[in-house]
Amino acid sequence: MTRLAARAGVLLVLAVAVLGPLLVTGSPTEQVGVPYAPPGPGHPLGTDALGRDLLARVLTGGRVVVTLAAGATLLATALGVLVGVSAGLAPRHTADLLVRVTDLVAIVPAVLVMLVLAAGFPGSDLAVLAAVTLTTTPFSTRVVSAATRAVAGSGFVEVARGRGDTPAQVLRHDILPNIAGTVLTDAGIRFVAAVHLTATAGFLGLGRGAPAPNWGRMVQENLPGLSLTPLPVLVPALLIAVLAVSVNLVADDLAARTAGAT
Amino acid sequence: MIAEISGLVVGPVDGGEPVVDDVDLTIAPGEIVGLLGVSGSGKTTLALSLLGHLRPGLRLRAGQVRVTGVDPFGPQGRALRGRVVSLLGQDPAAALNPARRIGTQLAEVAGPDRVTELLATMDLPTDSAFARRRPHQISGGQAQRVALAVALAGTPRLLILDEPTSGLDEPLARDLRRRLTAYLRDRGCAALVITHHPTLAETIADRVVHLDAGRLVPPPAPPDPPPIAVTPTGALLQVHGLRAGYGRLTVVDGVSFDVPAGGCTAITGPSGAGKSTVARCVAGLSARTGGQVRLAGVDLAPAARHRTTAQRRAVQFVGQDSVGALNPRETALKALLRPLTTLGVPDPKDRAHALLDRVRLPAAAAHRLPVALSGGERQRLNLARALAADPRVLVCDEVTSALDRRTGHAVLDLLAEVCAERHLGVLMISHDPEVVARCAHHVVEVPTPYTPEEHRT
Repeated sequence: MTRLAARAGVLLVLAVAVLGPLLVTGSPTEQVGVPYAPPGPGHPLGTDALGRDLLARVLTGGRVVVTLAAGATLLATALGVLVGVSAGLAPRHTADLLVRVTDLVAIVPAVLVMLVLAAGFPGSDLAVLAAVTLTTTPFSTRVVSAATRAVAGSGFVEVARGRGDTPAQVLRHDILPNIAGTVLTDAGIRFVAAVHLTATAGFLGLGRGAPAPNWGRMVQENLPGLSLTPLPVLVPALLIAVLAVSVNLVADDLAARTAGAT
Repeated sequence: MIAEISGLVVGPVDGGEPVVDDVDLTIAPGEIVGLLGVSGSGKTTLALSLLGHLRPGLRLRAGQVRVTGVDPFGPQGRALRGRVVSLLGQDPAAALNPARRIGTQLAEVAGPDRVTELLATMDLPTDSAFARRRPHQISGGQAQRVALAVALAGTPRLLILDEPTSGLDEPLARDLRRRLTAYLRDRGCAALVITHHPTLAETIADRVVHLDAGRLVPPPAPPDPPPIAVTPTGALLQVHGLRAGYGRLTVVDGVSFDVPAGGCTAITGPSGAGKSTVARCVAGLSARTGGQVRLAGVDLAPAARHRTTAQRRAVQFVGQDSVGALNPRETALKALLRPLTTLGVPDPKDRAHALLDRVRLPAAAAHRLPVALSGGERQRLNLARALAADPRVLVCDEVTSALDRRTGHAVLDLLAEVCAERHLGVLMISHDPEVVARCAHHVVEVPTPYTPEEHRT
């Protein structure tokens, strides 16, 4: 039941984010009425702080959040697996050094990294992507390296190495299949963090600037009118929340299946 | 009654032969019941039902289980675990946290004041240096006793011991019974001991029930074919003055022996004497700190990674921990195909199936993951995998301790056959005089360990 609901949630939000821009008839940036108008004919969700059609903005504002978050998660997970597995298989001292270096990156607050990068490359979504990747990777690295170390210490790896299997064989047959579940679950958590950070970036006005719609920034733009009409804040916020929760449920489910695969 | 099982039937979810078939069993307070059966007879499944647990793929088909009047499969069942029923699994290393000192682990369940008392109960060294060691720094037998101490610390009403004797020799088993009995009687508790070893079952339990193919049966007469004699020739593996330990701790010092091609040299000694360390040094899994290991006259480097591929293949290790030695994501067939493919054996699939057959694993086991194999089957798979690498020397560390007597003997006989056929040398580590007597041509005794204070270097 939860599994179905989670999948439906992911699909729904992704559909809105990815297909939304194709369904929009009007312009998301054109003023079409009075600010904070309640739902009415022609504007099913009403209007936002500047009197723009909310539905059009919701449909077009998800793509950037989802693409950036998914891209950053993929990049961060790939980097995390690369560095984490290397650290997990390396001798103690090398591993400690690698983990300390990633820890150094982790110490810097995510928002600070984002602000610095955004200042260097104003109005660039790529800067947001890089910032989110950079701040997410250290955590993935730590989780992956711990999981790798546990598997690397097991009897079957000892046997394979003792037998003379190459590191590549050990990696492919022994290490990767046994850390896959952990990596998937971790990617789920990182995705939520990435959505959160990407939305924050929008909220702070980083990345491609106004008037381009962005769910994160919409929450911020429309906050002053919350008492007049809650929809301009609630709809994007709800979409972000549903995406974050359901992606995690799906990742957990996938991880459980990988672990119990027969 | 502490536990009552009536008409219990457990079988695969998708139909087929039941694993446990119409079993009735009662356990009274103060009683130690032995549950005897060959591997795959459903012993562990029956015992786990007392915890309300079924392995994935199994289903409770009929019957009733009650522990202190509560149904472990029912809504209150979870409350039984750990408090009323405590389980000590087959693999002692798995029951202990490898990263924490054993003293800390005991203190956590029993409180810091009872650590010494618990160690003494299990005949373990009570000095603080021992309590500061981590699970991998003590022997398999000692780890098992530490795990038993942990299991008893919570004062459970029913203690389930899965193969508690695999790391214990007979005097220790007798001693364990004395301690367990006193402990259980005083508190009105009971124990269910799962074992494949008839003599040890008799030694440890008040009453022995025999399980065969899921049914309780009258005990069979033990089959005991005569040992197979093999004539050894020439020294293949020579070990001279071996010294090794953990960190600054020397566990073995000055051990020397030869393993002839086609012969079996057994290393015996009390639990904790460093038998496993000798085996690991020969296989290069632990690095020796002194002495020589020579294979066919050529010096072997201490660590396996410094040996040539041919040398690594030539010395194959089969350990006592059958669970950890198998990749949980690899089927039996895949585990065998890997060494065969790297070796470039023609028709690796046929060869793998032949090897499975050789170690008396059913053909159906080929596509199972380790979790779906019994302890005995896993160990036989480990042996097959070692043989797949086409070794010259086989290092066997307590390989039969998790197998029932009959299967164990079959494996030892198989070892003797293969060793004669391929002219293999076998280094057999065992505490079991019966195993040693059955297969060894030479026996080397490792003496009792010195106290930790004496062997600091």
